[in-house]
Amino acid sequence: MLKDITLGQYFPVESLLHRLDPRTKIILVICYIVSIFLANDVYTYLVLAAFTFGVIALSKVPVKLYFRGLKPLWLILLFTAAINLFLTSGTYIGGRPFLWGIGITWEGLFLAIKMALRLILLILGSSVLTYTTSPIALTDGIEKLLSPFARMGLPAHELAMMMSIAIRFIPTLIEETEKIVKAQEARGACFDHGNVVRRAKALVPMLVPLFISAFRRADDLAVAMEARCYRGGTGRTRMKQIRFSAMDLYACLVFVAYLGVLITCKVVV
Amino acid sequence: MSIETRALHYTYMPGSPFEKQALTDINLTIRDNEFIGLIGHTGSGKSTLIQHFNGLLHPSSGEILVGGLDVNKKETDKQELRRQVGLVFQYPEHQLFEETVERDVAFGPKNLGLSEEEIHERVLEAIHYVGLDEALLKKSPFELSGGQKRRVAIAGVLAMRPKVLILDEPTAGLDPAGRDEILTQVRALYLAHKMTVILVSHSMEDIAKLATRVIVMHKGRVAMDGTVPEVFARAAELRQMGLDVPQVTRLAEEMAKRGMPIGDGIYTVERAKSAILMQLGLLKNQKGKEGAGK
Ligand SMILES: Nc1ncnc2c1ncn2[C@@H]1O[C@H](COP(=O)(O)OP(=O)(O)OP(=O)(O)O)[C@@H](O)[C@H]1O
Ligand SMILES: [Mg+2]
Repeated sequence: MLKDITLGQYFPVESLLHRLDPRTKIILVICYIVSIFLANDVYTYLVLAAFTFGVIALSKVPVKLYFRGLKPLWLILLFTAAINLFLTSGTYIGGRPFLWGIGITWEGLFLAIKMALRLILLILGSSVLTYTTSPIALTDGIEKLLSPFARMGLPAHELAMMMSIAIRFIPTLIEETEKIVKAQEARGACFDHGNVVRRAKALVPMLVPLFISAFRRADDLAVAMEARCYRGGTGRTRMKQIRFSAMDLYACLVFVAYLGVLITCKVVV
Repeated sequence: MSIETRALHYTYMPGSPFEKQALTDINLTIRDNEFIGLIGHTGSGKSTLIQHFNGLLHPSSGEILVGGLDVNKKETDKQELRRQVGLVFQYPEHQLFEETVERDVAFGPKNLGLSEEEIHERVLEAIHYVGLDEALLKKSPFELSGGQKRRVAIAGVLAMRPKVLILDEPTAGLDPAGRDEILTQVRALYLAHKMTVILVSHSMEDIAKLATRVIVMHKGRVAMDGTVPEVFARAAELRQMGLDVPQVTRLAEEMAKRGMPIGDGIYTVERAKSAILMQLGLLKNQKGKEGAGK
């Protein structure tokens, strides 16, 4: 169960997208998400889908993985689709509502499909970022993007550092949890039986050791960082400099071209 | 209580990019009242194997029978299985959670649904086995030293009165005195209760001293399986697997090479001591004879 969580989901292969500056990717993904909301008919959706799958192909990450990422969201997808399907007014399919004034309208059907597509494309597109950018590069990019605001008192470096530490420790804590669960099960503990109250109580033998170990790790990490003279962000250089290269420029140009096509489609058709 | 595995395979995270075959074709029969020393290089699959013995992991394929019961079957009572097969994990002190030592040791028996008196009796017994003072019962386990915590955790498993006791590196990170004490107590338990004990250890000395049978794991397979002399006689192969023979065995080898053989089958310090003394005694006698002959 715990293993299904794919948070630090970076997929290490060589591709053009992997080599882009994380800043470029972050900004382009934000622009991409905005562009999703420009699409509203068959043609624009086609352009959008073509672009999305083109980028997915470029990332060299197995398409299977992208669709696996959708799995945890099918409930939300189903829920929004159902709401749109039944609660949109318009002309009913078959001429009239089939039960107590509830029915499916043509408008509702289209809206449901549109919203589901939007959500799916949104998730697929943003997974491109997380699959092709290592968590470290991601936080580096965020730090750099936020650094102009540092003058206004925004602790950009600290935020980025906190994020990268948090991301770094997710798999560790999952592993730790599995270990503790097993150790308590070996002493006859039972985590998946009984009513809600019993189950909540059963969590104590898991949560207490987990918290203790998290604090111990935090302590150890703080000491280790101090021992290596970590003093916060000022004056700190990095081993891997992120640089805006020609390729980033091309990526931006491609994206602008895509935007152009999308907007033309919207205006002309 | 016997444990039997047939063509046991286990793969971690099958179907993902991180797929890892940890166990390959394990066929073992562990009989009643054996003291098994389980050794192997780090990552060879020791911890994975022992977690199959009490049903924490399910084989990807193959069978495992504990006391004649098929662990894989749905109707096998996992709770009962874990009562019979006590497993002490690596760094077990990390699983302590209760407010007092007493309540932490009582966690296992409580899960078995025993009466208050029975639980209390078992807690006292377990505490006594691991050599902890009764005065510690009311203390918080988090106030104790590392070695004491380790004993509390081991007591927590012993309080379930298992028939098979599995210990995964129970002495890692302890001082020499603490190490010897815990192992002595394990041996006493083994002798007194006719338990089956499986001890995972990186210390060839401990294995040579305690085990009646040694199982060597290598890259997820059973590479060797036999008595202490049988296994440690294959020193070259062991070294290839990143393992070694006990230090005194190396000493004996080296002495033989330099012209002072003290005999084969030297695996424990006691044995080496008597062998060396005997050899020295012989030498003295010879010198004495030579001297007398002149
Ligand atoms: N939870 C897990 N998920 C994925 N792979 C794992 C997991 N646990 C262990 N492995 C892998 O399975 C293999 C066997 O691991 P195992 O823990 O059984 O080794 P070990 O013999 O106990 O080693 P050690 O002496 O270091 O404790 C290793 O290669 C390890 O990387
Ligand atoms: Mg191990």
